[in-house]
Amino acid sequence: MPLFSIITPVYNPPIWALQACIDSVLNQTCTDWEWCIADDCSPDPEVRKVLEKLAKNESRVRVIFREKNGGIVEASNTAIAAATGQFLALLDHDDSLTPDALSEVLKVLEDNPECDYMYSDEDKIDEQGNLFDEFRKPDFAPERLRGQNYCCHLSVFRKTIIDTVGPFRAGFDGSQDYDLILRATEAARLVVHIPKILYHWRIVEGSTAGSVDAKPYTFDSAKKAVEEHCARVGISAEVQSNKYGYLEVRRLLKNTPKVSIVIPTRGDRKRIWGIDTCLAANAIESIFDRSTYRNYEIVLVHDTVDKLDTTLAPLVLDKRVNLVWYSKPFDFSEKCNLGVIESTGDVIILLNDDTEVISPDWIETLISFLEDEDVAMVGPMTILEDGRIQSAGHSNNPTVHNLGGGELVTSTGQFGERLISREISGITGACAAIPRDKYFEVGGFSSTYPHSFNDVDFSFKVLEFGYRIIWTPFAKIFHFESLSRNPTVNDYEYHRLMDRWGHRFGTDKYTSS
Amino acid sequence: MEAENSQITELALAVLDARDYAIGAAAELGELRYRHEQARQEIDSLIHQLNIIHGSRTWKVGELVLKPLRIVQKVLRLIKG
Repeated sequence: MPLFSIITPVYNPPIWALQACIDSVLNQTCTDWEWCIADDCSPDPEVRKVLEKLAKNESRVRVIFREKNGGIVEASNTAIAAATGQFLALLDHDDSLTPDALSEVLKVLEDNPECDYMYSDEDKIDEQGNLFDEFRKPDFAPERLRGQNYCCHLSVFRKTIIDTVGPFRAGFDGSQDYDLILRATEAARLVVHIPKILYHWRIVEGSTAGSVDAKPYTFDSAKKAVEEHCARVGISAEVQSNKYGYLEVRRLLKNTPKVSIVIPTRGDRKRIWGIDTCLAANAIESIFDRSTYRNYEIVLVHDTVDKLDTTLAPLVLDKRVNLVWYSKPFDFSEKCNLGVIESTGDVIILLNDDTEVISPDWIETLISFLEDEDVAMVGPMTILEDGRIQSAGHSNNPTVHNLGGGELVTSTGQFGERLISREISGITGACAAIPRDKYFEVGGFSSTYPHSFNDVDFSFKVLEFGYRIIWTPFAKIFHFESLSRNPTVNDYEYHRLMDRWGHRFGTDKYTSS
Repeated sequence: MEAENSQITELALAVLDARDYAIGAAAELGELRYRHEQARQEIDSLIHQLNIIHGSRTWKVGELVLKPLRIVQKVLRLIKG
């Protein structure tokens, strides 16, 4: 059975909070632990008294009283240096573990002997002991981790990983744990999420848990940690912190592959912004007028008609547009597949005709994630005509639905999930960037679903092949949803979806709702 | 030439369809296995619950109380022949 070393730097905590922290460790149901505490010259003499008493009464506790104050990084490293266990669990001096915390970690290690780093769900605890702000986290999601330290508490590292990547680093004060998690996950053989709350993060005056303004220097440290992480893993990016404390990681393209924007259409006209508009013409004009990316073609898959819409006809004469006629009964999937077959780009962007580009760099943003070999699908924030969110990706819990649907475009989502690029279980087919080879690898859009759920099915196929799907808020398009066809869902398509993927519903790896 | 191009496109579509069909069939098989496993777990759970009931004192007392009645039923069946 492995020995856990609990690592706690201490600096002047409220005594009652320190005592609660001590009680939570002493109450662990798993008994194979040692507690390495480094007191960083706490001015309050009561802290020393409490720690001395604890060390006297509990042989598993090792307290080091540092001779001079060195800050959280040095204090944490002092505690780590004293550790003899095979695993290091980080615990702050005023926080609490649940009684089963280490037992649950032990279970994970029994099932996953190769696990080098694991993190659990967490919540917050106020001064009265009330629990709130339950954070049900996603499974390991490296893109999300670049935008926020969602792993945070409880973090448990295999000691050999810390030996490999080094302990906490000076210069990252306030985000030293974020920096360590980034470095550890880069080196880890396996990262496991424990979907259970094992940690209560204490809110006291001035703590980071209470407010992002409490320790503003943490923003700079976090930015630096992510910048260095990106450099190490070969991502060229500009990193900025936003006002909420999350990081906007804007990737810079290494290559400019040819992009084929495939637009299936019947040539319908509808009212947009109160004006009778040819949908496809509006979409194409917005691409022409607003896109900053230049290396693209548009493949317009149009139902066979005697005469094109008068606003569309001049646009298809442009050398960037390839008009493909479709003469069969309506089958959205087959129209997409036909467009992809007739295209010549290395990257496909499937785009509904009832869309309009908002972000000038939408193509660059979408395809930048595809430079990661294990990413096969990227989607933007799609916005309704009235400015509310149409889709911020899909969740499959309890059943498939658009995240953020109907919410204000300024909404942050749970724990900032609308403010950062992140892994997701599916995205709308209204706009999706897919590498050409991967589109063919997963069999394209399925004609089993000619009307609905073809994007859901495609997303599941992508996940089944072990690829990641990314949703990003940094590319935005309007989606005048279902203006171009009857939005009715066919029962038989739903049943076919359940026949293939029923087991994927009722739970979601990346979103808690 | 146009006819050949059209045939190539149709064949390419058919290849995509066939690939999707194979992936879909594998997914359906996985789904059936999942449902089978779920059903098996449910059956195991029911059997476990049944064993607990059969092992309970209430069940045993009930069995004892009803034993004479079962003997009478057997005798009556024998008489009726």
